[in-house]
Amino acid sequence: MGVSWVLELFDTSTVTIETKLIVAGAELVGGYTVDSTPYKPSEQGISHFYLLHHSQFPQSAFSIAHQDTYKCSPRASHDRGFDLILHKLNVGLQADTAGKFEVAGNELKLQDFRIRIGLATQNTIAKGVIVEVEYSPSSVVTQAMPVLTEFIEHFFPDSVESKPEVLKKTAPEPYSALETLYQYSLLFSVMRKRAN
Amino acid sequence: MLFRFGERKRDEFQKMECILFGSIMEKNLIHLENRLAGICDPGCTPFHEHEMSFSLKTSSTPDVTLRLRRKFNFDSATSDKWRFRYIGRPEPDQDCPAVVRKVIHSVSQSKNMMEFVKAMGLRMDFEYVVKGKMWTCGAVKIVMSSVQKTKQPGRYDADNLEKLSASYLVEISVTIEDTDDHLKASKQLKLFSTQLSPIIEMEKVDYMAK
Repeated sequence: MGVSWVLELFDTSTVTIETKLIVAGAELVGGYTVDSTPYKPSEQGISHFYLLHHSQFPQSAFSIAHQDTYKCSPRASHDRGFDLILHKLNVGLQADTAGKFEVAGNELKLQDFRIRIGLATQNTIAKGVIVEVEYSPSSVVTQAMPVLTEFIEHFFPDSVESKPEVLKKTAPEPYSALETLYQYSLLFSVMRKRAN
Repeated sequence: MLFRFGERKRDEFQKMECILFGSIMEKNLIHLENRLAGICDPGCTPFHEHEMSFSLKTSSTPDVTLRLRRKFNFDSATSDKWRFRYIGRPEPDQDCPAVVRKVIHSVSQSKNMMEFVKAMGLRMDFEYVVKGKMWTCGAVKIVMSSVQKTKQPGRYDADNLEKLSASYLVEISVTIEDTDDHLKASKQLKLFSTQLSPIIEMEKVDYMAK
């Protein structure tokens, strides 16, 4: 698993982005999906939670409660049994199916990069285009960032300034899938607040 | 090519558990261990674990209880790995010779697990440290453990740990699918437990009775 930069692109379509990458030498390797279900608290003292899944990690579930920063946010990775456990806690946390997000699209491979381009939908309403760029050879953010930034500058130059918080590390800490899903959940939060 | 993920059968994580309980004085433990060595699969697995019981309390519904467990005296490789376990209420079947209950388990990893469970609204009811051994005999699991409680929550040094009693808790259990016949499995479990008699008598304990 590598380091991923997840970004939203505006005024473009998934086909346009795929074509641009294929012209640069990328090849289609398959499809992918990401989904996020918000869980609303029914009592005081319980946080809003998001349960996410990514097809790249089919046996895993990821849960995050957003606070001001990633480090302060209660978060955990689980196996898929956690979906059932969360269901048992529905007296305190109820699934908000109206707020569920899904991203579905294609995955392309370009040299050491995996690029996943998908359309984000909230209950069949299209909300935006999300691209995940993964630099596969390294799982240390400080090692991967120079190459990853160069890739983003080349293909998505408007997005370079909006580097995600989880990629702004100065120490050589290992990167985890939970940080990729955190990036997705932040984008979903922004999309949710946006008018259709 | 789009592929669906997330179709993992829930059977893998949700099971029915048939379980019997017993206790044995520490001085008689060697006899039980010798008997188990004779009838069980070769070898046993020692363990030393820390379990916390949390409950989600709401104003209008009964509490929901979750167990969280991890290795005790953990090192950095295991410190953030926990197992969630939901244990359902026992099935109200008077004729069944064993306690039958639904169990759901999930392995989790978090750098701030205590903050995570607190954010979910879970509050700790009690915790304990358990040390013992586990044997298997086919599908049957035999767990023999000594339970220590903490005099003060959150402190796990030797001075703060106190044995709950001079006895060891023995549990023998078998997990089956939701759809399997729990009566048949319970009867087989009860039959297995007779092999441990008279060293230890395994019983169906009605622990929910107040």
